[in-house]
Amino acid sequence: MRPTEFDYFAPGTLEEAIGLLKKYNDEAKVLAGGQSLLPLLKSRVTSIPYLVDIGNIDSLTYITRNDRALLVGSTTKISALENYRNFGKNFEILKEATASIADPLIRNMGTVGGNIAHGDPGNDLPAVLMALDGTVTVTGPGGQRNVKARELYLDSYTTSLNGNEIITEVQFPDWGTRSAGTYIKFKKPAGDFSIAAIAIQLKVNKDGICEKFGSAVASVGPTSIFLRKASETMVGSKMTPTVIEKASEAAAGEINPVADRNGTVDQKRDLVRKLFIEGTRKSLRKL
Amino acid sequence: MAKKDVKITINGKEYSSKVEPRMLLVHFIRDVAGLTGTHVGCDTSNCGACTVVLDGKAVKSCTVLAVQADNRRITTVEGLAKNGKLHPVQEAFVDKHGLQCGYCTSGMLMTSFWLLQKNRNPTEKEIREALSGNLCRCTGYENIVKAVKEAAKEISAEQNKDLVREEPIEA
Repeated sequence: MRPTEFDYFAPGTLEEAIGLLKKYNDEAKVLAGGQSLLPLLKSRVTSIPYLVDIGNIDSLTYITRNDRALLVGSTTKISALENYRNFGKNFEILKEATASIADPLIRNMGTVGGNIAHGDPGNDLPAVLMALDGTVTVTGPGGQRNVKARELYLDSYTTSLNGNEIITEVQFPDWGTRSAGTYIKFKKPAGDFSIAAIAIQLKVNKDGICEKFGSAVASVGPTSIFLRKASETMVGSKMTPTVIEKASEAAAGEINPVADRNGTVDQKRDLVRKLFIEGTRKSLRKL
Repeated sequence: MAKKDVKITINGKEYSSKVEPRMLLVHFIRDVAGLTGTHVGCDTSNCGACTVVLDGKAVKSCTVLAVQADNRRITTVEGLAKNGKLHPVQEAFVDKHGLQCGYCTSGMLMTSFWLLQKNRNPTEKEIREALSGNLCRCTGYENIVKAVKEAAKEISAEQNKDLVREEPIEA
């Protein structure tokens, strides 16, 4: 299968890339690793007249850490992030999530920025970034701006980015001491998208009271969803089974699943409720 | 639509051609370079029959554009054997019956080759995880996993051979 015809550009700098996106506007799209975009082009679900490949812009490939966050350049391969040696306990959520994406061969080509920019509700990194309350730095003709992950997604395959903007950096916040998290992906065969997946990060104070809690889900709505009510239910409480149960009910209520071959709406709500409980318990055990 | 000049080094040999940007890497390998050991299986990035090693990393060449591989280096299954001698991974697939119909085999070999380059002594779990993007409908995977274990042993033995020095025995 071949995509419909397109013109291809491989700019060496970010400025050139943005210039090309501005020039061709709605007809152009960014190509990062292509592991989501190329299957769509090949199956002709979509066609794009101008592809701007940002894979040759070396300045966008890096992983660094400061005291507030893990900073990842957008064209960093998912496998590079997965194999990052300096995660520490605070970022186990990210280690688990990256290792669960598609398969190792796709992770060798797919990029961190692409996984976040594509906007498929089945992508895994958006939920992680939402749970951690992370941000993306976006660069366009007017300069740079930061967008919170929790405000990035408008609909399936639709972000709040303008067509001529590029995600240049992804910031995964470090939740500091006494924090832990996990990513649990419920899926059928190897390599497939999840039926539902949950990202959870929590932080407790010295007395075991929940100081911060972030949870988000993939595959159970038009976009990844930040579980606002469930997360707020947890904050300020001792994390007793009763509180976790109550928050999990809230989680099941604030998702928007559709019935399909993987299950009914009720089954998926029940699945998210159980994943929430499992993920919270697993995170607590890691503290 | 403007064609693009592409230069890709495959198994140490340079191939140049003017191609449509929509040409997939697997088609460049098969049709331009004439190396048909790399197979197109599902063509939807599920099966891994098209796996090649691109700049040291195993990727699915049906889901990479040839233009994305411009100026890069690729190893295909034809590049594994050296001087008429099969690579230990290939030998092990033969010895352990790691194939039946053979369609997925070049992809299996390339992923295994990549795995053993980054991890000399993989556990069974690591082997199965590494091969999770390669589908085989014949073997049930058991013999493929055995073959990769065997190849790992073989490669380690090969490397350790250089380290063993025979000390002269004193009378």
